[in-house]
Amino acid sequence: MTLRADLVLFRTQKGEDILLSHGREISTNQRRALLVVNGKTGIAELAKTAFWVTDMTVTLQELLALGLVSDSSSASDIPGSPASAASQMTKVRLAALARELLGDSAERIIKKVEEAEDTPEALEQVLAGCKKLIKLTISEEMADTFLQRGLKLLGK
Amino acid sequence: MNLDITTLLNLFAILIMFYCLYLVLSLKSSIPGGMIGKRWNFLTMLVVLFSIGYLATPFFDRIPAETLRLVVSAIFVFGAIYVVVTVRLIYNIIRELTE
Repeated sequence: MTLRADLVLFRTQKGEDILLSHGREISTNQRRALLVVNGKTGIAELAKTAFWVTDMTVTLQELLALGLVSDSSSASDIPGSPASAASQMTKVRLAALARELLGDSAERIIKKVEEAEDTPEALEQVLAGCKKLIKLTISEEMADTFLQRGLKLLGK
Repeated sequence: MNLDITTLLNLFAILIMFYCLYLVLSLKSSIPGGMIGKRWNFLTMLVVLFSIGYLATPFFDRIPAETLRLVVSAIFVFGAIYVVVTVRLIYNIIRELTE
């Protein structure tokens, strides 16, 4: 099955459950792709912006086959609120920020961000935790930069 | 080889130090930098130095007394530095985590 470039995908309830479970049912790459699916952005745009997901189209096809995402034609399965979608996008931007500042050392930080709850308070807390982790184990100089730019992304 | 209590203690110390060397080296990749990463390189260097020094302990009876005193003094100095670096590192980690 070929996915149209402008096709907008939504996470199904099963997809939401998998994200919350933090289990190993899906690969890290599939989890990252699932995180960026927001019910607003088309596949081509997702592939362009979420550069940390390897082979976005193929991965989304896998998620579709697993029933973790669906296209707009079966939108009755949509679980996420607009607030949740916004939070997911913030997570994606935070992950991109971590990758930009920390390069290969960003993996642990991205994992922490991905596993955070979808509320601004939880994201702010995770951001503070990530700052400490960066300062202790990655780079003392980048820690404050990450926190300041992360807070800007959260609108603080 | 005369396996007296001193030799056994030396062997035990060498084993512990090599276990310590294994730990510092295996953790090194997880700490690329930051406050811990910087100190970790220094601690790794000290552990390597101690491992070499400990390996030499079975031959201490073959070196002159004056040289031996110098070696023991050096071990004490580096041991003290190791303890200071470790305690300061723990102190900084706790301070950072409780900020």
